Amino acid sequence: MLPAMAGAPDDSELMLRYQRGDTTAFQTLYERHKGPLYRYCLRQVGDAQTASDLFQETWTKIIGARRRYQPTAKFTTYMYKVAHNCTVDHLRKLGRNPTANPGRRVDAGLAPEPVDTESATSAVQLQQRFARALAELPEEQRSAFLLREEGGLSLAEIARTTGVPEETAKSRLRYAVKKLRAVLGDAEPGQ
Amino acid sequence: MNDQRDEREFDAYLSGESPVSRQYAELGAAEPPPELDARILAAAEAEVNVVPLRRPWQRWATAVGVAATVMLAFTLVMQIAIEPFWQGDVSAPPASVVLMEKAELQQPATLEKKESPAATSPQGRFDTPAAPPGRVAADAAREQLLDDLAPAEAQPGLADMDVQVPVASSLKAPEPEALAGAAMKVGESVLITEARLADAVAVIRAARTTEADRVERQQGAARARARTADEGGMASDALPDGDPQAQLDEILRLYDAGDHIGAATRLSEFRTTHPEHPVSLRLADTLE
Repeated sequence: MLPAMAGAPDDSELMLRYQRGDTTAFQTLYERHKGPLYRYCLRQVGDAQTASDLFQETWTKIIGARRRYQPTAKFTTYMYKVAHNCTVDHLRKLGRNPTANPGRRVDAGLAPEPVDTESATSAVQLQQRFARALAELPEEQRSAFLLREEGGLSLAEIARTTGVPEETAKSRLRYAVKKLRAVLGDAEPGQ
Repeated sequence: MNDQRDEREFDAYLSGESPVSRQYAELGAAEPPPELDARILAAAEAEVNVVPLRRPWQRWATAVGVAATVMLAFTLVMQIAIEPFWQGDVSAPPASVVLMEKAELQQPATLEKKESPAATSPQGRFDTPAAPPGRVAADAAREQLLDDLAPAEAQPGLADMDVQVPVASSLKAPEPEALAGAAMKVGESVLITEARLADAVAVIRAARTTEADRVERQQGAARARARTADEGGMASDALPDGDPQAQLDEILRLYDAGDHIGAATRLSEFRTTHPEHPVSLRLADTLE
């Protein structure tokens, strides 16, 4: 998540300004959140085209709800809830159980096919293993992890976004972190 | 042991000190394509510039709502202002109106004298203090009408009174349409009241017939008792001079023959003339 600059307007304030017709406020809001939200979509579905569709659908819904928007919660919670619902709907349309391990494609720069050659560096191998492990997480655990990493949401906000109790969200995130940590082993990133 | 280590690692992750977060950050910062940015920003701008279209029914909703409210209010006001006077309780005010009109027809001089204060009142004759004399006249007319037991259909002019509408002249200047409607309601009210009067007459006739039948039956029973006494050679006025036991036997015979009233009368006379003579328990329990 991009940290808000000191003195920069709050997300909800920007959305309210956009509600009053200020399109520059929306532009600021969009620039602030487009990267994390796109990566959330991309790493949820593993396909750049589908991720673009979900990304656009999410913003279209936010734009369409401009007149009804009320700052009752953090804007990021609202935005990721819309994105989460779009993703779940998409997976249901595909006939994939969102809670099951999808065995999905891993592309779009997320995780290239592992190159098992002696010339590959250990850092690249580690990144590939990590990307694969992330892609193979159950959707609910991957969603909790991505909401934490990209959206910077707290456990309570993850629970609210995904519509589960906070303990459930915590459990999902704990399992995701444990599996990803197991991939790393004793290696430290960046070494 | 492993659980404790997992817990520590999870706490470290939540505090942002986990290698997992650092490794994730090395996956790269993918961004949406620029054309996608342009599409979304254009959509956001278009949404602001779009004037929300109102559907046809929405355009007319306010006007239709106001018109409906006005119509409803007008109808309620008219209902409250006119209905109780002309139609409200069919059994009370309209009947009085009709009967007063009858009284006017029968006693025009009296009613002219009694109605003169009320007729000039803007409140109408039934809402002013002058109304009670009118009602008195109406009640008198009703009693007279019921007493003479004349058939309702023989009363002249009751059904035609809707067109005369002398009552309307004392109302608060209603609208012409309301006046026409009110005249029709008066006609209906007159017909209804006439039918009710006919029913009342029929009920009174039936009651009188029943009473006459009862008197006739009593007289017949008395005549039968006289015949029975004559046939037995014992007149009722000879009882005090006869044998007391024979009189008691006669009373029993009358009772057994079904003439309970005659038997009771005889027993009462017997008690007067023979207070010392014992009477059987059967007679005493049954007739006293």
